[in-house]
Amino acid sequence: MKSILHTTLILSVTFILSGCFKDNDGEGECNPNAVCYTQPPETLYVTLHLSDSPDGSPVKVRLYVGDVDDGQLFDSFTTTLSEETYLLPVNTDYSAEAEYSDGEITIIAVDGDRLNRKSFENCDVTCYDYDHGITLDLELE
Amino acid sequence: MTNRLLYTLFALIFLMSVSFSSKAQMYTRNPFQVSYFQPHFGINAETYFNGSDILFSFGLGLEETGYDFSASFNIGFRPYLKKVRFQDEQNENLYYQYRERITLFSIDLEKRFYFLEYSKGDNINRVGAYAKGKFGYLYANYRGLSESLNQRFLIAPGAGASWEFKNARLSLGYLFLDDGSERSSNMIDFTISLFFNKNREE
Repeated sequence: MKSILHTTLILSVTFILSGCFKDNDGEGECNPNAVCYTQPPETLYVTLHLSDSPDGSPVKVRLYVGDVDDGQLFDSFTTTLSEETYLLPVNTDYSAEAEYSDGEITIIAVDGDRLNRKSFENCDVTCYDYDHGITLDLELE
Repeated sequence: MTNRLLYTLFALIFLMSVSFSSKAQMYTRNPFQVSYFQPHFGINAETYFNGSDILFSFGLGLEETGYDFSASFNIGFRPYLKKVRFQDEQNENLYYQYRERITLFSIDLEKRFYFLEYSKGDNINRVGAYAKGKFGYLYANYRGLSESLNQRFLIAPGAGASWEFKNARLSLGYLFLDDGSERSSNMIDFTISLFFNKNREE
């Protein structure tokens, strides 16, 4: 019983802590046929996920460089689409607001993240993922 | 409802302890009985949850098996981003939805009262109840905001059933964690504790 408890505790800690570490795909591998971009990208994708407004009206979206409360407004528009994508400079924080209407009620969904490069090692060469990007989840709960 | 839950937990703990020790002879014990001061280093892993939220916590500190108390420093966190809503203070028709991450730094103090005891080999195992308090600081941050909207000192009381072995303890009970939001503060609290250098009790 004691060994079961010890094992359970160690496995629980290991399982939970493993989620804290970034997934470094392909570490230690060598695939000479893999596509490898050695030039670090200067821009990557920022995708905004949106819901339909409860009353069917278009959603007002504002994109900021930095946080919404102290950043710089980058773009403002109205949309009925569920997804909007930007190609933006890396190593920068981005945030966005989506304003939904439900009759007299207004709900402003906020999300933000930092756009960083993602890389992996292949045959002792650093390769950059040009498909990497961040998603800002502005969908209504 | 709470009393019924506690009685059920005690009955489950009792039945489990008897089933694991079918040949063990069980004794009742004065829950206020104390021995001499026996400190040990201990670590613990904890989860507290309800129907709408779950947090994990890890801690280390003092485990004392003579007077049956423990004191540990714990760090708790929600392992995912939760969407939460706040009503604007000036406009009741305006709500903000954020993705929230919570961290709770706390000193956890716990006292146990064992009323059943049984021997298993050279070890003495005990079953009883605990009362605890988390004294800590909760910090919530929100993606897209530079400042936290919710940071506070708090005290979270709890109680439940405790089952102690030679170098380990299982605890299952109730925790009242009021984080200042409108969400339910009632949580189920499950903890596994390990303590080191505990010799056979005389």
